[in-house]
Amino acid sequence: MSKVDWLVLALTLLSIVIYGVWKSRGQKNIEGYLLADKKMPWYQVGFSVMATQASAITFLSAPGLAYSDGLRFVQFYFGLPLAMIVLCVTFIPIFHKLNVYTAYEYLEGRFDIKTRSLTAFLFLLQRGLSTGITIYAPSIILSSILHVNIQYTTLIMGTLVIIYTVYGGTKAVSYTQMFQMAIIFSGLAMAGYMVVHLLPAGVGFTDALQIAGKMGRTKALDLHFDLNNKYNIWSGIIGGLFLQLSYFGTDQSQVGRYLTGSSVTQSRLGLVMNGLVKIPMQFLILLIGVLVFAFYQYTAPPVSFNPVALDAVKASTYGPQVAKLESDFEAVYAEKKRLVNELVPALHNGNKQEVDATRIKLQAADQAALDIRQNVQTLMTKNDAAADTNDTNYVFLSFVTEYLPVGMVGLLIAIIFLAAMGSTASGLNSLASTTIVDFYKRFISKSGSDKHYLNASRWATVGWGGFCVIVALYAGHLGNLIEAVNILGSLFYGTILGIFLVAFYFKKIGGSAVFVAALIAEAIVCIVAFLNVMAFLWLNLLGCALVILLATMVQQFFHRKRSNAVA
Amino acid sequence: MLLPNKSSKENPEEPPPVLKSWNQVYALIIAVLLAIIIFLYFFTRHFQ
Repeated sequence: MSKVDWLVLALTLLSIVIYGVWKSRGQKNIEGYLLADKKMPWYQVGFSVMATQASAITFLSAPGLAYSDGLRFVQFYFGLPLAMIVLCVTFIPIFHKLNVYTAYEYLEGRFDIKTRSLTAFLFLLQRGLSTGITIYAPSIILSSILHVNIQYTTLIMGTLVIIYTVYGGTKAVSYTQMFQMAIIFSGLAMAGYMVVHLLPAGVGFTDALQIAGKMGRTKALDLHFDLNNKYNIWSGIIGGLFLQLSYFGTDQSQVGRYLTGSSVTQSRLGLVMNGLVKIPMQFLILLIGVLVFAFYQYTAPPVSFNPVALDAVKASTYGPQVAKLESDFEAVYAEKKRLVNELVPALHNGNKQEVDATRIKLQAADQAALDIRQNVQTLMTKNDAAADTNDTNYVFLSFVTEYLPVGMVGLLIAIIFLAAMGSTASGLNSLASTTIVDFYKRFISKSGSDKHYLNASRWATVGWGGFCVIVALYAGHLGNLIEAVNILGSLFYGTILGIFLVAFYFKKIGGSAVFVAALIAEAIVCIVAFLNVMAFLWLNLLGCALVILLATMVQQFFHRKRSNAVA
Repeated sequence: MLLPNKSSKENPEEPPPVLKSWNQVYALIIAVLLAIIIFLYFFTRHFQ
């Protein structure tokens, strides 16, 4: 990176952090630290909710996913607007009415302490692991730029975010997230413009989409129902609805964001904004990945975008085999470029026959390139079983650092850092809230002063920060990070959502029944996930349905047992 | 255990600042979702 880029990066990050810390100065109580004194207007709630979900992973992994797999990931978000409606109707009025700090407080009043503690524990487990993964993503960038071992950059990144979150609390997070999102939107728009600008003369935006489309990268909608297909309209709407409902309705990292709203209306409007903007935003981020794919049809891509893993395998005994594969890859690339150069004039002339013939050849060449990349990844694994062979997390970063002009590289890397800080800070904040409110204040210190709980919250943030850094050190083996986070969430979210839905809508079911049902449901979900019986989005529906069904059955069983005992 | 030291300032029935009722706001969200799905359908068809 040039000196100008470093300057832009440092100035952007510093100004945001100073602004957040300045706005959040003088916090003296736990409500200010955890819920920003419940004074946020709707647009800050909306930006904060969006920034919490849009981590660095979104900007690193999503374009890489579109590069390798096309646009179909956008369907994952189809359930989100529907989930926002359910939240506005049911969850927000209840949480506001009860004046809760965390979503799990409600469960003690409705059920009992063990159900509240179990749900809070499942959340802590899931969120702790997920936040670790979100720390890992920006560490990749630091590692690539500084050419330093990723373990050191993970420690640096983790320490920075912990300090920022401990000092600023929710206010710093909420205030800075609005500006983060503004910078993120403008930076991405510039990146999209630059990709098209870097295409050869005579090749425009729609040409780039046509080229990518002929190699299967523009398929954004799949209407076929298939339980094993990760992304289609049905898994997106049904499985996605349950995942997003659980994420926004029961995950404290999100509940904590919209509870900062100054009223029910402000919280609702924040979620309505999220429901309207999220899918178009995600589509545009993926579209940048597709455009980058088109760009690499005119500019030779590396055989792997992960430079560290590629250099390692080249330096090993597999070096000659990798060199041969690289040579084959270059030949395939040359053939693809020739075909693309034939395709564009045929498209302009409307020559359908030639377009179809070229499309078939292009798809074959693209498959050959994918096979070679797969062979290189196999050699990487043979050389080092722990190597991070999935290079989709590196595609966008590689493009940004190599081809964008001076100044923009710094800005885009700042964006990725800002996104990481926003989501990680929200994650750490929610972990601290739940630990203090649902465990420490409930079981250990019931009558401390506000200052005592404020200090305890800060220490809890430090503790969870340490845990997340340890998770981040091992996150390199999880494949594409945006999928890894969502798969992890799907293991727990269905069960947690089931508990909340029973609480809201099944008034006759008691705490013991739902507690037993949740334990059995979670075990079944883990087994089903381990056996890989269905695509991960369906696990949310499965977990939720199992909790409701089993809780109803167990309640009947308890009822009969009680009736027999009385008789 | 609900924490006592917090203030409540909400009125769930307060109308939205845009449109006439919350139901209309929710209908708008569903209409936008449908419009996006229709757009993606034609986008997929056009570029494939």
